[in-house]
Amino acid sequence: MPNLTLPERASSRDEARELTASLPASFANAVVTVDGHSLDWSSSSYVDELVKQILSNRNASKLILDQVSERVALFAKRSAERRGVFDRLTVKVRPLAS
Amino acid sequence: MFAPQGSLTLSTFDREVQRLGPLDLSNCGFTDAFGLVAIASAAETSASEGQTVVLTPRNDDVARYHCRMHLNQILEDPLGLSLDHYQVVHEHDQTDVLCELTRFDTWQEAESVADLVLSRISGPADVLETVWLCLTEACNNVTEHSERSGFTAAQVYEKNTVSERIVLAIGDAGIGIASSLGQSLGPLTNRAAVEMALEGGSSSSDDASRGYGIHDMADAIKTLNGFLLVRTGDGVGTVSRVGYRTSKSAAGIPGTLIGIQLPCV
Repeated sequence: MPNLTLPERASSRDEARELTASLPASFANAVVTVDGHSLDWSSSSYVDELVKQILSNRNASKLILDQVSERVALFAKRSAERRGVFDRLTVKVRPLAS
Repeated sequence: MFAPQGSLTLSTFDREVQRLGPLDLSNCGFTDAFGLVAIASAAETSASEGQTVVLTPRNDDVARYHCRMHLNQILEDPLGLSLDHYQVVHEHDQTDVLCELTRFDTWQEAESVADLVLSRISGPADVLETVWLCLTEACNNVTEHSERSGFTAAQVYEKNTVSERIVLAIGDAGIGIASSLGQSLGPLTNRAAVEMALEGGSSSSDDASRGYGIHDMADAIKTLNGFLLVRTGDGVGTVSRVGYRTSKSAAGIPGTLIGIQLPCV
């Protein structure tokens, strides 16, 4: 099961492509888990490119975004809806820092 | 181009940009971060077209501010503009409120600018998150679509008061939103292009699910009761807590300017 870890800050689509470049070109039936606990801030384009690369282009059976912020969760859900892959996205929001 | 006779700011830009003529800052009375980015973009276009520009305000305070914000450094070398008569100012440490005018060409440089701004300001987490979102989305649009360098500047106003706010500005003298979207959608008016950018879902790429960057920025700004201005050519778009509206200005500008104001408290 492929795993990726997001950086502390993410901005561009190029950055998301670089992160996913090492993944196989296709992994149908694979579940991809992305650890987002470090990611403080992100652009919506970065999150959209991540969803596109993993669910649309590589056709993973499921993308699990784990421990992401409320806003990243929002961006991911919007992106998955727009791309018609919402049923293959699971988002787990991290607890708010006290 | 324009020759402002008063303040050149996020809130006065539409009035001042209608004072048409060669770029002339002689009578410029006040400038904010947005005005600086507008000047830099206009100066770059003027210089590339061989037009004469007057970049020194008569008002010493305004001239010092432009110098403190590095307008002269940014424009002097690459454009060959002579700004010798600008005053040299001692740079007091105001790094908690100022982020000087910066040129960027790549997403890495754009991200560095966003990092710098975030290292200099403080505020609630949702404001900082929105500052990052806006700077990275807008700067990446410049590097991906404008075909020119971008400029950005930021400043906090009325720090430590209930009115504390940050103004962010991002601009370029590039092809503009209408020409960029037109590559996939055909000819568009500037106003229609602004409307499409704010509504989201229109992109110059062949990916039908792209084109939501400005829409997502606008959504986050509206949630925080902030203000967004998008200017491209003669197209104008504004977003505030009451919604968004678009219009056609009597005066066009080269490229695209984006100005954002967010409350910091």
